Amino acid sequence: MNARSQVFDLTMEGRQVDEAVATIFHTVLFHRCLGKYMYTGDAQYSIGTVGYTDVDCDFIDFTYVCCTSESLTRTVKRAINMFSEKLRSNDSCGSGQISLEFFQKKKKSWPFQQESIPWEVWTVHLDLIKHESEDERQLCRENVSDLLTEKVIYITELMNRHDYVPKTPNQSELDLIFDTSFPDVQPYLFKFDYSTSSGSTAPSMGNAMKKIIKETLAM
Amino acid sequence: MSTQKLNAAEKDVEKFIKFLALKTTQVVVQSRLGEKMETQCNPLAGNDWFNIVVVDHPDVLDETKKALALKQQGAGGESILQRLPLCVEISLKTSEGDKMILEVWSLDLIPNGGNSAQREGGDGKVSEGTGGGDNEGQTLKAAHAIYNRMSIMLKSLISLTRTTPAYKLSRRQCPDSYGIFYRIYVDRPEVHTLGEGHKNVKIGQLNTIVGSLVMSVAYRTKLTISPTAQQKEQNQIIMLKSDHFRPQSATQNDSSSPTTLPATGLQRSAANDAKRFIDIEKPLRPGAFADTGKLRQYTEDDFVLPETPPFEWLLKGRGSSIESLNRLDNLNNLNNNNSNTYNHNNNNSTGFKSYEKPNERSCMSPIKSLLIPAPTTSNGSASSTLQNHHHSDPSLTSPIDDDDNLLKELHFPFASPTSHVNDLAKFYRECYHAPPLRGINELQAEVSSSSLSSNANTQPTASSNPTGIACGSSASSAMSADPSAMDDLSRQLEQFETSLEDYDKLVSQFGLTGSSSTGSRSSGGLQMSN
Repeated sequence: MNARSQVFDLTMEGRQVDEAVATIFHTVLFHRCLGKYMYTGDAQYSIGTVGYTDVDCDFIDFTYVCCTSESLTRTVKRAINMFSEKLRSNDSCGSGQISLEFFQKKKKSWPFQQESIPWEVWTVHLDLIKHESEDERQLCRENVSDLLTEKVIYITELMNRHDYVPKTPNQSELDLIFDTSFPDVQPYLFKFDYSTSSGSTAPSMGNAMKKIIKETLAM
Repeated sequence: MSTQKLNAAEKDVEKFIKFLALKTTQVVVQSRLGEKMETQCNPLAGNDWFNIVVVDHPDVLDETKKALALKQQGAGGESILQRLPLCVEISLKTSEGDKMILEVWSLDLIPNGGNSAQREGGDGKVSEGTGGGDNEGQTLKAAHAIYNRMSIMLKSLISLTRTTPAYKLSRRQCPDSYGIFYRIYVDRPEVHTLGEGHKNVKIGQLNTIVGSLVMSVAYRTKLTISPTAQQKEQNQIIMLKSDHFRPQSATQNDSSSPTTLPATGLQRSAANDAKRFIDIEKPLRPGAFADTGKLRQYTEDDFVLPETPPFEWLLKGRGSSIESLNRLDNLNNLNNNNSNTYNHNNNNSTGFKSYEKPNERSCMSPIKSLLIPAPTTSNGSASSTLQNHHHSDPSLTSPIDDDDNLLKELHFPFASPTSHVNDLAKFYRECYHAPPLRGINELQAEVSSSSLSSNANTQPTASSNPTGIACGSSASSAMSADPSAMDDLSRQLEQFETSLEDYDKLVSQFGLTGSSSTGSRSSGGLQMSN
């Protein structure tokens, strides 16, 4: 379990959360998405190509790039939305974190569950603030944009290091490394996880349930 | 055999680097076009390099090839490896000719000596992962691995091109203010042109058997055009100074050159805003403590009275400037009428434009619509088909002028050609035009019919004495409008007077609630103290 882990600490307004997290996660996923593998023989395959799309943020003066994949965008958006709603809800104390975890599966013999081994985790830790004046809000809008610029530069820097990524397996084991459920792109297997510091126990139960459901779905 | 293999591997790497260079310039330049990019995935094995869909822009491709001076595969030609410090310079040029270099993206190859010892070309190990170790200095040998890393580098480049300040500038570019330009050259990046405090970002480094490939960007952080640069260009400062006074004079004696004011560029208009003199083109704002709700109601009422020109009675009392306008215009039109009936319409609309501009504040659209039919009535005796032609034509020509203005305003910098904003723009344009056109036509029909009936006797002399008719028609309309306007005003006054009590009551209520609240507060304070 020695996965690389990166934590980004961000402070912003509630309505900026979705876009800020999306900026970071989409930038990461854009780098971690390959073209679809199309097997022509057992060991021979051709790789599809990945298109990209510019996305303008509404609440931050920023544009990020993501893969042109509707299903991937939807998946990411859903996860971020759930987190953001939780974070911004009344019973939240305004801080929380969401992580994007890349993992690979290990095959186990029948009675045991398949094991997921994370190899890279990107965590965004968020603290919410409220602004009193419009000037302050404008200033923050620029600050958050500068902050995201910094983070994107940092992400690309990390991506270009010669760090470990799982090897491309044979066709039969492709699902253990890549998420092949998307029709247009093939990202490494990933999942989202989030927590907000609400203090009560009920949400954590929910989280656990969600985790279980997600894991079963991922299988 | 091993040298052969090495050569083959080198050839591969060389080819990869060449295409990486070609794609790099594409990505950088395309990101500065000011448009949102969207390329589609091709899951069925598209043959794009590095598995990323980057559509080649032919001009950029030509420029890159020219800069690299790549020879065809034949022997003797300089390979890409010798040519490499390839730079894409992005610069900004204002409409006034000021130039500023914003950033330089570069792809460089640093030769690494003594790599010939590494003999094991990795061509065969296609299934090898992308680099097994954490060492950044590790040299990649497998073609597959190099290819993958280049793909990641290109992705990083795509991501990073959206983050530098030049990206935001390029998205806001428009021909009126400034444009973004690119230059591709083969040399060391000229970072000294980027001013003080420029930033360097290394996008990626890739160690290969032919050397280590470094992709980086240096960008300007101070985005103000320095005054020293402007001083070099003579008379620039005097120009700005004279600009300072111009709008004021334009408001005073307006009719001299009405088109110069809106034609000023972005920088000038920004300077004007900073001075904060009264801009006649902006709507009047309510005062600081005005009840905005009531104000809005009042203006809506204003809009309900379009039949007569607002405050026409005032103008008439002062010597009827409308009529003088009218007369002038009719003279214009009829002169043109005599020479060429077709040209007349174009001139007609431009004539309106020049008069319209200074009067825009007072929202004189009714006058405009009244003015149009005047020449057609005088011309109406000629033939009815011609009249129809006249009715339809101004409605065709004048919207084209408006369209030009609109297009400028509707240049949505963030709208891609596929987005819905274009639909919105279309819809807005339709809405903008349709109602006034119908109004004009109806008004024309009404006025022409009425004037035809009233001036039936004078029709034969129409061409000889056009101003008389025009005056008569406008004067009669003014006469009919005058009492109704007066009535309306007096009615309003009455209304205010009758509701005077209500106002008093309201004011007294405020006084009461104010005193009661202070009372309660003071009592609260007493309780606290107790």
